[in-house]
Formats: sequence, C-alpha cells, structure tokens
Amino acid sequence: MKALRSVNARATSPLAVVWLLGVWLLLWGSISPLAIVSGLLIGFGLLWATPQPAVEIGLRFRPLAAISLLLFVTVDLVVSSCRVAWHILTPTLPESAIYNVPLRVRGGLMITMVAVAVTAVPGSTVIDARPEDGMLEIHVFDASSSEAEQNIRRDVQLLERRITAAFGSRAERRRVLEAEE
Amino acid sequence: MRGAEIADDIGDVVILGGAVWSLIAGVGLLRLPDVLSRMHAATKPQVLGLLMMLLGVALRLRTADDITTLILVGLFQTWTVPVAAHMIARAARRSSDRPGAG
Repeated sequence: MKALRSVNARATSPLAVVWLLGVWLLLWGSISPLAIVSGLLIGFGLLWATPQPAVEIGLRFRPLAAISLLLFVTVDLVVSSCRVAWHILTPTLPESAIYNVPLRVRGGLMITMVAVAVTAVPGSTVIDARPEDGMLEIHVFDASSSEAEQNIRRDVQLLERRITAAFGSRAERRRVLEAEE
Repeated sequence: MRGAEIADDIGDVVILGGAVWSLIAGVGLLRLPDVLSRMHAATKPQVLGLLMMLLGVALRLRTADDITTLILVGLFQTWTVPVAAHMIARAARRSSDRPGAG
C-alpha cells in the first residue's frame, strides 16, 4: 500500500540528483566533464528506475553547530566503544534494560538523525522508532544504576537540541526549545 | 621526505588500532549473551575500528582518488550500521516477549 502511494508521490527531485552526482564524483575522485555528464545521466536514470518515497526535507544547515555536533558524536563514539570493550573483555556483564524515550522532534529525517546519533551515545542502541506517538525504544547496555532511565532521557534531549541546532527547521527548533522551558 | 615517513608511521599505528577495535567487536559478538547486547558490539567498536582503518589507509595512500573513496565508505558505514543494527534489534525484540532475550 505504502510503496504504491509513494511511487506516485515522487517526481525526480533535483536535490537527490545533486547528491547522487556528488557520490559519483567522490567515487571517481576527479571532476571531469565526462564524470559530470555520466553522473547526471546515472543519477536521473536511477531515480527514474527506482522511485523513492518523498521525504519532507525541511532542513537548515548551520555549519558551526554541525561541526560541534560532529565532534560531540565522535567523542561519544570513542567513549562508548571503550565502555563496550570493557564489558566485552571483563568477565562480568551488566544488566541491560529497555526504555521508551519520548521525542520532541517530529520530522522523519530528524528522527532518523537522532536515532543514528543515539546509537553512538555510550551504552544505548535504538530498537524501534515510533513516529506516530513520538517514541524511541532504546536498549541500554548498562542499566545497573538507578538513574539509567533519567540518563538516557537526558542524553536523547541533548542530542535533539544539538541536531536541531545544526540541521533543524525553525519549527523543529522551536518545538525542542519550548519543551525545555 | 620526512613528512611522508611520519604519515606512513602514523598510518601504521592507526591501522593497527583499528584492527584491535575490530577484534574487540568480533570477540563481543561471540561473548555477549543476547542479540540486543551484541548489537552494541556490532555498532560501536566496529564502526570506530573501521573509521580508524580508513584513516590509516588514507594516511598511507595520500592520493585524492583514494581518499574520496575512503570518505564515501566511512560516510555510508556510519549512516547504515545503526540502521542495520536497529532492524536486527527490532526483529529480535518482536520475536520474543522477554526483554533482552536472544
């Protein structure tokens, strides 16, 4: 049902072609007229042959906030790798738990970004995202402390704030900031 | 050519570090008790290991063609690994009622 509707919903988006062209040029590693023309042809061809569901983009890009987000997530990735490595290499295993964490962002792309970033946060992976009621179902690896649920909620809120600051539309930012007041 | 030698040496160290992280991820996949815990091993140390490996290879190759390809590999890995882990975790969760059961 869903697939059928999306096929009709989507005209070839110029942004998607630009993105595919960018990937193509990165693959070739050089910018030549031939690479650009072939990239455009392949981009249009692919999008024509495999129509994608329409995604409401609604993105802004704020470079400074994006760089700080990137650094933040990288540090998270290193810290969480160390923690997981510790549990893998020592004999004791922590107690895990699953929590439902409410989201404040609403856009599909925003939820995806938050979910991807949550996976880098120390000790958590996303099990399920439920956009209809704005919930993320998160598996917390080490939930032995009594504040585990509060901690993961706080981490998700922090990520939401950083991600909307870097990429969020005005409406998404307002929603996140208002929810905090 | 001192700069090139230094880049080579740093590249070696970083590649070795990446290999160690990947090994830890592999051990984790075997050792952790259930699917959901294993997803932690499959996402974090594995991605870090791969990114370090790519960085090390980039430091050794140092040509624009290769580096752009390595960037693509890194980009798609960091973007798809959490999604893949999420799909597996969700399937595991839905096929059992016990939280955390494998």
